Amino acid sequence: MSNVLGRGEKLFQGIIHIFLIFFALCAILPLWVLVAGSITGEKELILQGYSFFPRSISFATYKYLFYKVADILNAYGITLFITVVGTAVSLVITPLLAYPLSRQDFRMRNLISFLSSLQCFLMVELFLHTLCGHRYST
Amino acid sequence: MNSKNNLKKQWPFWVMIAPGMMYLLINNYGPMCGLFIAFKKIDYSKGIWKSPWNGLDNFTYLFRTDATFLMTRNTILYNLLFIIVGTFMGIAVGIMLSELRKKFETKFFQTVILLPYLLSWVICAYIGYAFLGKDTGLINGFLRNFGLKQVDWYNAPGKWPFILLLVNTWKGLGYSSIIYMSTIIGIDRSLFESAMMDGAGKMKQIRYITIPLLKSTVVMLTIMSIGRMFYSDFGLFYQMPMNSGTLYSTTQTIDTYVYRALMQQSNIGMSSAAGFYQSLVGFALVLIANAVVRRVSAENAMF
Repeated sequence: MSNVLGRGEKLFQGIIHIFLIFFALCAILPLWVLVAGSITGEKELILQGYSFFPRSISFATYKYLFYKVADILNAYGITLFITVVGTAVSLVITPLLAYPLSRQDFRMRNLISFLSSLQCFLMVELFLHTLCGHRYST
Repeated sequence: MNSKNNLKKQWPFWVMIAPGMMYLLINNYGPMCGLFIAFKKIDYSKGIWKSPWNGLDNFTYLFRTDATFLMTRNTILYNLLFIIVGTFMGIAVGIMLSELRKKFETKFFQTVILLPYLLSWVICAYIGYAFLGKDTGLINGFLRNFGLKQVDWYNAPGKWPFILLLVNTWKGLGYSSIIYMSTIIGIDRSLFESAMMDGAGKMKQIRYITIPLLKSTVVMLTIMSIGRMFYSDFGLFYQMPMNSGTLYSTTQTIDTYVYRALMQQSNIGMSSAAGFYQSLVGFALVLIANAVVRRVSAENAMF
């Protein structure tokens, strides 16, 4: 692929960079508002509301969280457990279920496929992954 | 004789599907037996088993109230809106991402744009509150600074279709753009090179190569989304409006209605009836969607 960009190409690259930076900002800034809000002093928050630039720095919220560390760690522990164990278990069970379905010589293929896919249908991730498995050729 | 042979030969398959089918049977198909609740008038003092049957009364009541029409309309319209806008934005950003030349840039933008997808709806609800709060919100602060009137967002139902559309796109863009981008990257590069040699500019290349080759993916995803037309993202419609009652007319979907009817009115019969209605129509849509997919391209059909 040629490395010399014509004028049209340069313009195109410029445009997509502008759009992508815009979308990236849109993705990050709301999170920043939340973080900035957590750092702002309480009085300023009530009087002037949220803003991108915290007007007074106060870590009172984090101090409050410090007293609740036990609860938060517990919550994180539960989340972590569910994520790790859940992913591991589904990574075992799902392929086990999928392999016989992929074999043409499995006798009950149609029935089982119907029963499983009916439920799968509502699970977006699983479905999109199977869809994206097809390759493109000319 | 034949079947005995088959069973002997195929027992590994049966063993393999056993855990998965067990899970599906227990977790998904078993609870379906509870559908009979939709036909009962549940009296807590008598318990579920001894409560009297009331035939189709729950359903007739459901269809006579305005709420059902509203929630069905909301569910369907929002889904249509989300499908159209989501697909369009996903393709646009996917094309943009695929045209980046430096690998670092691709990874960077992909990761950043994907970030909102990973947040939970509760967090998004509070981000929304930071923007839309009446006195403390960012937007109202902005309006105040420019001398314009503040808007009470959580009491203005008319504005919420736009708000929900915006938030849903913001959240889903990362995921859908990655899907389309990976499809585009799979397109044979020689197509583009020969187009370039024929003198086609960037926009023409996109119009005549990228988009037609994306059509198959788009059609498949769209048909699947249509099959899910009667389901909605519960987090989006329940958490974002911060459960504000005045917004029900434009943010109530079937899922949130079932949940609220259960939590607030404790009317299990009604909730079951609504859920049953949703599942029936959803099932019909799934069958139709699959039939259509089978006609469009048979190998992508599910059953």
